[in-house]
Amino acid sequence: MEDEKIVELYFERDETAIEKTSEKYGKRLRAVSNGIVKDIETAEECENDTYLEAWNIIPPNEPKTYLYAFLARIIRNISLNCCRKKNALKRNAFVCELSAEMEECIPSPDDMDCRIDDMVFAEIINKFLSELDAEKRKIFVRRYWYMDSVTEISEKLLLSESKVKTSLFRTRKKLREFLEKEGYAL
Amino acid sequence: MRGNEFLEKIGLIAPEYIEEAEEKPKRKKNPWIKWLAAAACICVIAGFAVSGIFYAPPQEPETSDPGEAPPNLTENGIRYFISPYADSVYKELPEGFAYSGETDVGGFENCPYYVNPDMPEWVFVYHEVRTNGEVDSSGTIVPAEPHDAYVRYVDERLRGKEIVCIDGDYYISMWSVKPYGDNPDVTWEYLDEMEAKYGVRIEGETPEGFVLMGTTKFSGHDTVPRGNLVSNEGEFEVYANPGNPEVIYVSTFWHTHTAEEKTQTKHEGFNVYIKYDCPFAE
Repeated sequence: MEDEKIVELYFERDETAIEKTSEKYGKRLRAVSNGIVKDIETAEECENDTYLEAWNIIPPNEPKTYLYAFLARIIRNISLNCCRKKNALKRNAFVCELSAEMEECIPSPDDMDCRIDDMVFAEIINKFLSELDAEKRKIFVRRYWYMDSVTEISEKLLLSESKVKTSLFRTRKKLREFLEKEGYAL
Repeated sequence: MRGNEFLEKIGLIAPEYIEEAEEKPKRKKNPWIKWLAAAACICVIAGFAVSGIFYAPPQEPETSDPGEAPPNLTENGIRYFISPYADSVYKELPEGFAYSGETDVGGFENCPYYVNPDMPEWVFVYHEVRTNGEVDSSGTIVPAEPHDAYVRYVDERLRGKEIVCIDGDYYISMWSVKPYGDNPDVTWEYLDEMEAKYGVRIEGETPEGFVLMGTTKFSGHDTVPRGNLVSNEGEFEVYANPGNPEVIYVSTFWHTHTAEEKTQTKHEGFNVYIKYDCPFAE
């Protein structure tokens, strides 16, 4: 079924919407979650929570042209929170590792007064990503959006691990420079 | 902002970058293939008899760019997609299917695949699956470990299509019909006309003139229904109008939960199925 029709079902408060969403995107969403939590049962829980969240926020949201990305963003947040809450998942350390890498990109990480809202942040990060070449962007997104390990990225993108590491290092550096140059204090 | 917050906000990146990062890169061809092809050309030009040196390997399905699409493969020019149904994973290879070669599909390499000339709408591929597990005698769900199984792949012209056959005439639901792609079920013009006339689903009674034909027999998911009153979706009541062969109504129900309703509300009505030229009709 087309995304547009599925979103219409959400608007009509028709529970078939969830069935159709799960039929079309269930496997992919579970894979996103499993990539973050590394536990299939938890990933299934996150998937169910995603449908509930989608049910609650469509409407007012109307993601007719980007339903998958919309759902993927929800499941990413839910899975990330799950990792933080469930120490037993053993993924906490990995999330901390990624957080530390991200901190390298922030010009003034301790400045608590310098906050920007989500809209501005999205604009900044998308501008930065648009200036990267496709391969570097994919590596960056796989690492920090999908939370893949370096080995997973190298397998998925058919690149050597050293190339992935170098690319990530340079992109982080470039992001920091970009943020400084553009005058953003996060 | 700290690193963990930054990591969280990365979630806000544009949808196209999320999709782009899921695309699998095309595998590079082995360089020797290029040289082998060049050598073959030289031999032919030079007039050497090379028959017997070069041979056509067994035809392998090409794995097309998975990108956004579900796992799929192409065999004999037909694209097969993994079935969306839970009953598409088999421990044993169904009867009539025989080994046909190996393919890369869904991120798995060198998977054996099986075809059946009597059932060209399906191909089975043996690869790793994750299933929900089984319920034991005490009612507890025992989760299944990832394991290899025979997975049903279905001709793209059939996959996900809700079809009813009435005495050799085929009807497809407005939910599943596709007017685009390499093999559209119907034209845009026809679909627009039908949608304007009948809608996608109606609540309540069927329009005047439509009478109960009976209840469909279920032919199985991903199958081509054949015979009289047969559906590949399940058992439903079918209403038809002998004076209007372009549409039938198939019973259904659905639930809504709006702010006004305050609780879950069941609705009963009919899905609209329109007549179409089924590519599998005999």
